[in-house]
Amino acid sequence: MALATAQAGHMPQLPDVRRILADSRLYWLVLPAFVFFLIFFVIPTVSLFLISFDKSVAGVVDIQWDFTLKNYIRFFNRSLYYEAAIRSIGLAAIVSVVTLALGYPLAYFVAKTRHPGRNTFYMILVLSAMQLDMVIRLFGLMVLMGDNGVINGILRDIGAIREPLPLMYNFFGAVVGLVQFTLPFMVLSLIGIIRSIHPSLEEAARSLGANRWTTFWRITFPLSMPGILAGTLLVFAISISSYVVPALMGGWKVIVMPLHIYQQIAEMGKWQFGATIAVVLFVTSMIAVYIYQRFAARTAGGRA
Amino acid sequence: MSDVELSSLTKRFGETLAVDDVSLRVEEGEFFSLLGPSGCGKTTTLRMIAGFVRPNEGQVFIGGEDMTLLPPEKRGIGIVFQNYAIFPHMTVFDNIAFGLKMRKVPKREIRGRVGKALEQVNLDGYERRYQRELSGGEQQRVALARVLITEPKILLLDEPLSALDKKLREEMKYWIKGLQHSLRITTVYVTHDQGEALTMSDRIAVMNQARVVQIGAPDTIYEHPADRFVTDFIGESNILEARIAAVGGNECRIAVGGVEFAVPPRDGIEAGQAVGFVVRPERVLIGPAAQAIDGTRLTATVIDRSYQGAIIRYRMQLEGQEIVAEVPNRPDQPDLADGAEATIGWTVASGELLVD
Ligand SMILES: Nc1ncnc2c1ncn2[C@@H]1O[C@H](COP(=O)(O)OP(=O)(O)OP(=O)(O)O)[C@@H](O)[C@H]1O
Ligand SMILES: [Mg+2]
Repeated sequence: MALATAQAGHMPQLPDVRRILADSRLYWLVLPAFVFFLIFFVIPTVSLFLISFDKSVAGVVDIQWDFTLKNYIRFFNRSLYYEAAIRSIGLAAIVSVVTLALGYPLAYFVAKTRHPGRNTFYMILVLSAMQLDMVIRLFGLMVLMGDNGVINGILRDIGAIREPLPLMYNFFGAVVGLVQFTLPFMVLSLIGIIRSIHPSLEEAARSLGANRWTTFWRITFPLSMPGILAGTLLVFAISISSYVVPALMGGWKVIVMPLHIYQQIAEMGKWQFGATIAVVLFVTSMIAVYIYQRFAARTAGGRA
Repeated sequence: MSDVELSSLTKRFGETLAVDDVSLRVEEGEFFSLLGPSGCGKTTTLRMIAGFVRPNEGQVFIGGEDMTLLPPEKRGIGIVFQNYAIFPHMTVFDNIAFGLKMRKVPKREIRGRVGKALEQVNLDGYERRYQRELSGGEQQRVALARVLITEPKILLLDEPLSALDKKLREEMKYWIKGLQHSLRITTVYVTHDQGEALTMSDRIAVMNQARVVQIGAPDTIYEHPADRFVTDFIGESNILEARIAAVGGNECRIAVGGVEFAVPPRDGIEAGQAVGFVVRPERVLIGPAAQAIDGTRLTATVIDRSYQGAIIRYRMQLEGQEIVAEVPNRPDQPDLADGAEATIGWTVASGELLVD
């Protein structure tokens, strides 16, 4: 659901889409997507909104048409819940920043590799990171980062530590898991845009007296802002709505909103309150995305 | 001192030899063109001067200093790219101020100098525009202002007119030349357009297949091309297959088919040798004009007459070979129909021998 918020990154293209739609024959092309979107996104989301205002009765899934604000009052009166909201945003924000910091140099490197064969090889490498199912990859991470995992084992063997480092089942573990999962999305968002920056722009800056470093910060980085925006929004949306990674890597100690939703619905059968948390999650991430976009657009010098 | 000297510059890209042993010298204040067909290595040469490409062999001297290993930002050059490379995320003001900011010039001074630079390129009032709000010609002038404001020792231009329409190209040709002349800035200009090179340059280096084949002033290049390639590449030319009939002292006569005539002598030729004889179409006179001069006079047959407005172009048959004459469209010139026989002629100095 939150994935859809990443579409905000493509907002500048909207007028084009509208122009294409104006040609009525093309309506038929979007019809399947529209029907799919209506059935599998709009209807569930709308009913989610409705349920979230419904009277809370354990085990009842149907809409009872008995609307109340009680669920929301409960959410904002219990620190357990609103702190989870803050934790969710914090986790997603940190993951976005870390992924950007790791992904940008990688994307830059791939984008600047002009040799076609080598370039394809790097792209395959990036994509291959996405091939395995997330859960399987997370088990791999556990083997690496657990108390008796590879990292702690080596550190213990060389005598660097006596007690295992707490790499997993905490906030750090959740961040590592999410970064690992979202990195390819970030890199793919960035490669295209970095590659589209004409080399003569960087060369012009060099010839005007800027060194490599200054050229990067004054030219390359701002010009890749659309990709940075799309990439971070995508990563933010994936992270804030992720259930599996905080559950497995955080060991139920990093209680973010998706975990509460799961608990309410799967364990207690409270669909209404689960829906309330989901709506808050949805609205929160929309607001965060909006603020971020306004801010980032300004740094892009009226381009993004 | 801000001359440029290239000594035995060579650049390979994998298997391709892009620039092969290029040596030349651009004098201070000179407008110097690199002219040649696509792929001959002009851009690569320019980029080695700028420092974006490191040569495999040879050196680049600017103002007598060896710059071969210096990065571009330390060379004191300014370069205008074919696509102008206006920074799209900055206003015109910030684009032009960029070089001064890099040099840590105080803000107040920057404002004044940018204003003056904009005036110089006739773009006052454009400060707050973005690249997407500029026409091609305006972008080019912004690119020039952005470079000139840093007072570079050397100005490098890579086909700066090729993205403009024909009329604007003509205008800008003279405008750039005028600007260069008034600033007396040493300029290296890359182009594949011989017209541009001839009108703008003090001297031209003609390149072919990674090598410099001739360096000289425009009139020298045009009137005394060094070889067949230059002859063909610069303007239209008649090249007749000929043989040296007699050579000695300051005299040389060649035979084209069954006729013999005098040509300017050149070194290293001997009687009987096969040569090419070059004469430009506009130097081939017809009828009374040919009769009036002191020089070669022959008889040719018109194959084809084409009307081109200001000139009439005749394709003619001469001793089994084709020769083209272009005469001004004027009442004092004969008007010949296809198949007509006519006297054609040229002064001895208009001819040129090609030995290869
Ligand atoms: N970065 C590069 N990698 C590989 N080959 C290159 C590179 N740059 C240039 N070349 C090759 O070097 C040769 C010379 O190229 P260059 O760009 O200097 O030609 P040019 O004279 O500027 O041609 P044009 O008029 O088309 O711009 C060409 O064969 C080109 O393919
Ligand atoms: Mg070129």
